[in-house]
Amino acid sequence: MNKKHIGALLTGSVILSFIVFRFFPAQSLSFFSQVVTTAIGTFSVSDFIPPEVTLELRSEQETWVILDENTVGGQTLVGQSSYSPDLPTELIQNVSFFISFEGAVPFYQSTPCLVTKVTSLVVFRVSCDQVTDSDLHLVLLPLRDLGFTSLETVLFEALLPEGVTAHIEKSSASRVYLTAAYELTATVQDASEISLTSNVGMFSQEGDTFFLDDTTIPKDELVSLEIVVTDSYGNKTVKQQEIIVVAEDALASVPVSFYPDTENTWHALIDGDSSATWFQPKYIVADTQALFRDLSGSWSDWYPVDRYLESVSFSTSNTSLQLRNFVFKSQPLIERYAK
Amino acid sequence: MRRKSLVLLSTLAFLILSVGTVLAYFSFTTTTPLGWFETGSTQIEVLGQSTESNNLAPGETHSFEFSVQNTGTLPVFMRGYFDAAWSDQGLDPAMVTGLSLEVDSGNGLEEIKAGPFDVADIVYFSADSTDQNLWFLQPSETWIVRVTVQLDPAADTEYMLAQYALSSVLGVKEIEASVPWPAF
Repeated sequence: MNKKHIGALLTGSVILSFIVFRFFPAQSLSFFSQVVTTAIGTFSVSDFIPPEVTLELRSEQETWVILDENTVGGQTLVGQSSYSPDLPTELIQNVSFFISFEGAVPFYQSTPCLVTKVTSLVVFRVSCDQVTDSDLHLVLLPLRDLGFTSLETVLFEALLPEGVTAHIEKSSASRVYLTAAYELTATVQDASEISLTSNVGMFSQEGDTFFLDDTTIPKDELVSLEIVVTDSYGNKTVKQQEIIVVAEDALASVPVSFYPDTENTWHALIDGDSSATWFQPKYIVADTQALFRDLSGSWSDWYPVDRYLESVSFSTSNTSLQLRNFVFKSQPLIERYAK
Repeated sequence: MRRKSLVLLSTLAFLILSVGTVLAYFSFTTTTPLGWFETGSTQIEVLGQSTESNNLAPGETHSFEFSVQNTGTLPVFMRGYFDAAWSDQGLDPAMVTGLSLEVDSGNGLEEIKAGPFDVADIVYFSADSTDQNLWFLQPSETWIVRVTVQLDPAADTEYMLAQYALSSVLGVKEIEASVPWPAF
């Protein structure tokens, strides 16, 4: 190999190198650059959904969900007036009426101060004897115990002496009343472990459901119950519910006299000798199927009565009667005796 | 015969030179096969910190911090982006946005990019995160990088208990202007 060949070799090498660097600069210069990929960390998203809490009223026969919607409303009645509340179809079964009387009846009035009708049927009356003092009188009328349908209308008719007002409060969820027949429960749905605390009463847990033990809660007064449900991630749901734990009525004896009426019927007379002091309106049913007829001649399978400070008479086809608390249909108050 | 020898010799020389250049693409040796490059290397080492967190709720923020050390022999410019992924591939990485990118190049943490920004956007390591007035990462020097992200307040229940992983993808190049940025 002579100098000429060496020169040709070097010339060829330079040309080839130029081609490489001219057309593939990134690759040739990549010696002076670098890309590094490195995992630098992670995070996990927490459980950020608060527990879902549903308050319910449960009895042996049924369960009522206490809706969050609050449709409180109402009207104050004076003198001779009436009030027919607008009841949303979807809420009628959850509606309760809280009727409070203020003022004192200055003289004896035999006519009921307030009559409540569903469609045309009188469901209860309030005797003016109940408002002879100036104390506040509260009457509960829960529609859910009466088996009403949304097609029926509720009418309150008042005949109030001067100085007496009746305020009717319509409530779908803001207040509930509790009797021995009903339990207040809180059903909780959450992906993690949860705990429940309340400001009054104690809750016992069975699975996802918490049952309120209301034995320590004051009776017959409005109590604001606050429930706090916390999951293991710290999410909280607070439920507030006004409740009235109704004290059970003491058994009372009411003398009832039965007189043969027409065939297979009796005329029943409850005189005014009872010393019973009933807070809630009552009704009478028979142990077995029976019909009652009021003075207007209408027959029904139950008969509404109020405080027996005045005589009440009606016809019945059965003398084996039970006097029950109107609000708590399932609770017999008095075991009646057959004549 | 002599001509054949010359052709063989030329081919051999070409192969030797070409192979050397191509191999440089896959390695970071400190010598230059062609002999006319400045001797040196560009290498960095990235160390992620322990930044696991298990309690991020929608709207909350989290900071990832890591260090970058120049382990080569040449000062380098640096740019990069973040590669994000959820444990459930059906979830949207865009539900996590960057709020701040800070770099401690020896003067304490300085914010070079303010949010909200897409962590997948390429960021240059300079005072304003653009490719102007780039900072030098000197050999043996270490920078601390902190990126703060936020989980979108509108993140719904499908993101609950999901895990989000962040990786840094950093490209460095020698500060010579003729050297291009490495492709990502």
